[in-house]
Amino acid sequence: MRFLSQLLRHTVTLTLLCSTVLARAETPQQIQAAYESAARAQAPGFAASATRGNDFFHTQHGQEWTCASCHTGNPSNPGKHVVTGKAIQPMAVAANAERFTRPDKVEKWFTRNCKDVVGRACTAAEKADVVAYLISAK
Amino acid sequence: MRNAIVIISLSLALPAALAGEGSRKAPADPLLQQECGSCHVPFPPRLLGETAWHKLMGSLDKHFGSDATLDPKTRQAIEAYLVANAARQERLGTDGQSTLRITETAWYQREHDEVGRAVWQRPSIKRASNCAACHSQADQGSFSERQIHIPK
Repeated sequence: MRFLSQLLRHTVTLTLLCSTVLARAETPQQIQAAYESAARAQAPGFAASATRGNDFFHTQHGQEWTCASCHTGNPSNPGKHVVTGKAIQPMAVAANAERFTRPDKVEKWFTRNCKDVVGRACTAAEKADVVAYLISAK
Repeated sequence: MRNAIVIISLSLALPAALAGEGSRKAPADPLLQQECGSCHVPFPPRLLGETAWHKLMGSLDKHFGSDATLDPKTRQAIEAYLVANAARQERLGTDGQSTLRITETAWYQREHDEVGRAVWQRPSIKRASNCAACHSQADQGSFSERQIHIPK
């Protein structure tokens, strides 16, 4: 029984991993465009701004942590989890080509981190701005 | 008939006895490594009991002061792995109460009672949850005595 349940679990794990690998990869620009177009539903004519994204990344939003608390003031540098000390790969696309290529991964981390940093879900406009900033950061 | 019952009970009891109480080693789980391991050492499932793992995985939106939510499918798969390989008995805190913090369990405190306070406070260690500071293979879920190197 134990063997069967382990076998079943491993099958689920493999399926999940495969579906992650097979999930269509996108470019950071496509991911930014998807958030921009979602933002236009609220604000027609919205265009992402790297400058606004830069401000958002570095300032506090009523909570203890900013994005920079873990990702450092320079997103081209590796970061460090502010509590656990675990290393975090750079966020800037120029320093880490894997960033913003998997929409499901991007959404997962925005969902988690916006709750920690902003205390609520981020809007599509905020996400578009942050992605634009991290695409442009050198 | 009686013989058959004896043989069946033995065959059920023996593997459990060989596995050893509370020290089940589980093969590393790639999903656990990927999801839990992106923020901290992927803690081995044998470090908490079933009830504790259920509680912990059911409150990922408030995970020690941080939001660690997963999509339901991934969460269920990881929870099933943790529970299937959990410690046989709940690991209680030093106060005898249930706890979700591995470092607060009586078991953890006992295992580390020879580590002095000054050692914990070294900048290279800083936190009890920083397993990898001393357990060089912690990232792979291995905590063998031979792999311990306490940093200066």
